[in-house]
Amino acid sequence: MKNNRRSFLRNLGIGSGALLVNPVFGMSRDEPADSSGGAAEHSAFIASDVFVTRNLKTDFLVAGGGMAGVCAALAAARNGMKVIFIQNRSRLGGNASSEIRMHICGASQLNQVWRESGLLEEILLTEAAINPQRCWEMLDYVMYDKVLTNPNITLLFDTSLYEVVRKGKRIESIKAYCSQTEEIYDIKAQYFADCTGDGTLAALAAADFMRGREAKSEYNEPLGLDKRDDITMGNSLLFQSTEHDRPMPFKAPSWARKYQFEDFKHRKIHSWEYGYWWIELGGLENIVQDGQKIRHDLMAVVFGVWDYIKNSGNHPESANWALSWHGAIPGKRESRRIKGDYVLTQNDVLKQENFEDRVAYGGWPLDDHLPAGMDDTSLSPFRSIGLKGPYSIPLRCLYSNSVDNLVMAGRNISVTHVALSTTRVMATCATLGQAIGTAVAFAVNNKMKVNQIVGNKEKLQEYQQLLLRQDQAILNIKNLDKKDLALLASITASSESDGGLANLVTDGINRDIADGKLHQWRAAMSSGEQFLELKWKSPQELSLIEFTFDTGLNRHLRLSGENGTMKNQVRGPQPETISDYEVECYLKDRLLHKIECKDNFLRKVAHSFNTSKVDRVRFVAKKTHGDKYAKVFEIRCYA
Amino acid sequence: MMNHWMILFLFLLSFQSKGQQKPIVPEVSIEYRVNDTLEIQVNLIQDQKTSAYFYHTFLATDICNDKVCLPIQVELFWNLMGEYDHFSVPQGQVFTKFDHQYFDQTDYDLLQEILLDTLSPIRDYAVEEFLDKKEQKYSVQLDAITRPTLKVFSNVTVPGALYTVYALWHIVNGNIKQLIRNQLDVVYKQHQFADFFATSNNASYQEYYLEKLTGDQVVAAEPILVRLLFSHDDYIPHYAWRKLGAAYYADPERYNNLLKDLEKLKPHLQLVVLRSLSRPNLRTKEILMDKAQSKTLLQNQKELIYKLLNYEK
Repeated sequence: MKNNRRSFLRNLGIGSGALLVNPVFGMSRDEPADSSGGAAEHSAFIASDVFVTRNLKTDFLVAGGGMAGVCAALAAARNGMKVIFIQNRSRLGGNASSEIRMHICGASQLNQVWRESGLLEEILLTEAAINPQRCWEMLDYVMYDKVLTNPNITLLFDTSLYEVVRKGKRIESIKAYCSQTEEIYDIKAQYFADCTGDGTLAALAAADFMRGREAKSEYNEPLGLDKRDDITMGNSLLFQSTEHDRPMPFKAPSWARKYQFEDFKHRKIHSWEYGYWWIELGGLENIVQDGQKIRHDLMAVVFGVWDYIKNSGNHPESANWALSWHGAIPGKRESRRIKGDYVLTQNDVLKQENFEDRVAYGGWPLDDHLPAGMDDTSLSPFRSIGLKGPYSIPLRCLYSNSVDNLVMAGRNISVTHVALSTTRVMATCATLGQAIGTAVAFAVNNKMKVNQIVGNKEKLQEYQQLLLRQDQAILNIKNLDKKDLALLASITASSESDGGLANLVTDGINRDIADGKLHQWRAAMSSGEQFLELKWKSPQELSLIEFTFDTGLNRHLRLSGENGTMKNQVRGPQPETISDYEVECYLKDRLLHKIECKDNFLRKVAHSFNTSKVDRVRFVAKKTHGDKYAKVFEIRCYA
Repeated sequence: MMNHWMILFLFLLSFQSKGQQKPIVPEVSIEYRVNDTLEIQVNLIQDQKTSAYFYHTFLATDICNDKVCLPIQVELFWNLMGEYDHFSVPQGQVFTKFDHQYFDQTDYDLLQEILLDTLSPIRDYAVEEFLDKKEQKYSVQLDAITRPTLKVFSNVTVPGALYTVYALWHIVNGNIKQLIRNQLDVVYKQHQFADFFATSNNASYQEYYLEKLTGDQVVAAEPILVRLLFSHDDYIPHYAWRKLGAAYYADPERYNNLLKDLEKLKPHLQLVVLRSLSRPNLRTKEILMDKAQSKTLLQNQKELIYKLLNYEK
């Protein structure tokens, strides 16, 4: 059933090298434009005026528009960086986009309290609120909207990176090509982020990178191999189907693989509205450069599995079901991993000790997939080790050890193969994106290099405080922000329920951290609206008030085509969240500002106003999205 | 990771197996080096009551953490595939927990459940990782403070017996599995285990039997193969059907009896059977006519039956 790679390429009439041709050179022609002959017949020429070259300059170039890239671009832009954001597709989200449709996995899998907060949470809360119809393109749209409306970001779709110019230990510029506009972008930047997943930018910059599965001896990992190899996890191709009111026959194409009952011993067909992660291939091939073959092989598996469901007779209930969508871009799990100042290992994941330079966390199991995938159905497709809790990820895994101005987020960070089996999932990738976007902005704003942050304890703490303030998913960091005037206020409330004391809004912890304690103000809404007040002995200059609400981080929140995955999620605003509220600022009991907010569904909300001297701020909770308590994790006040 | 508890064995008393087990001739014995301080002898035995074969060892040792040692005497049993099967505690002996409380039946049942779980977190975490570094509990026995098990791991150990459970899990699920598997081909032939495997209810045994069955043995093994079509496992019937082969599928004298029990086969195998058969004779058609009357028959089964009823050479 399997295609042999060599014969596949032969059938295409090309060798593997032909796929790698630089697009600029690829435009040159060996054939004359005029076939009438003459001297031109034997001389090649380059039609150099067809493609327009755009010379661009920016603070931060982000390559790759998956979840990591989106969050890296947004984080940097929101912290003041000018960002050029290139994506080789016309959709954002990568594996989570409507083109691939993998649901976003992360630390929610721990079934504790650890759903990732930050930019990812903002995206997913927005999507859940505006997309009750579960339309995949709406998730693309949410990200597109957030990126496009940020004036600091220039988004270039359909733009593929193909060249990197490096001088010494720094990248000077990159070149990228847009097939839709016939433009070549020559982009100079201070910092470059490799969020390509494949580590393409790093590879083109000749940065150190890792590939394959490490030996035990390299990082002392119990799950390491006796001898290293170059094998990876495979790619997957998904599909969706819908139920109709009449039988929907299906005839498989001749190239579909054939399956029988025994092929599904280790792969369960539990429902058919959404495909299966185990439709996976390519681990034994070159996961990047054999991609064309792997895609076609996966297509043969998708149609083969659907043929089995429809026509084997073992799933007669599928009679009225028909394919409604199938992917054409495989979702990748593993390719290059760029080497940083630290390589995260299995031992770090299991021991779960805090890194001093922690900037994000993960919580997905150590979930390694066998490379043969659907080429050998007699084997279980994966081996999973559940984690006892979240593990921290250090900044040192997110910048290159060999190129000074190269940062990375996504599956291509500095981890071993075993550690990758947990860090690779998209919620983790998104938080890594936020970490590097913020790190670049912090470094530039502080006139230092990203790789100098770790060595400077004061700056490292400042950077972590910035991440925390911006709701990054980060472990064991308390709010110690000296600029936060709320920490100086005395706090009272109309009522306090269930142990949710008013002064917990400034206890420095902005979420449930599974320590058996509450970290939020709670007030019962049954007796009407509730208020909480911050008072200062002397007037404070304020221009910004920030709130962190409860959005049920103990639950999963992610769009999926699979009904089972959507179960126990809340589509729409999360019930714990305060929907309608007012913020009043007073000086000597005189109302200076009144901010009214309706239909909030976000966890982190900021309200700014003209700088004023204020000695009292009153927050009035008027309505929740269903919860009987008004719940606020944190209030911060800034000049 | 294993090193942390390996050194915890202070001493080891080893006894030969005794009781209701019959030694096997010729003797099959495996030296199982658990760690640097513990080596045990594992012997192939036959249970006199059930006639089932097991690998067995009697283990008598102390399992210690950094503060206290708990004595343990236990008989351990693995099946012939190297999978842990069960344990038994010799009469008069009892397992102890934190502060020398005794195991009760619920604790033993839980221990058995944990030892059978080859995917337990015990496989992957060092024993220290199960302890709550923030919490403490007081031991009367020691008059000292010790650390309790993390709540998140409370279901993967017997309360108060983490070190015992951890050590036993690694003994029964350690390299012994591979050592027993290494012997399997030889032992299977030497002791003529084919019938024992084929007639067992263990799907792993049945699968191994089918793997080892050569083409020239198929005809003689036909009654066994037909019986395996009714195995409780989902997949063994398919493997057995494949073994029966084309000659069987085309010979109504051989398959008609099976057809009579068609509905007793798993539905997914019924379809495979009906699709494979050819050359039905009159008796086949009588049986199928009878089956076609069944109201529980699925549409696709009916279609296949009609196809056979209309079969012409």
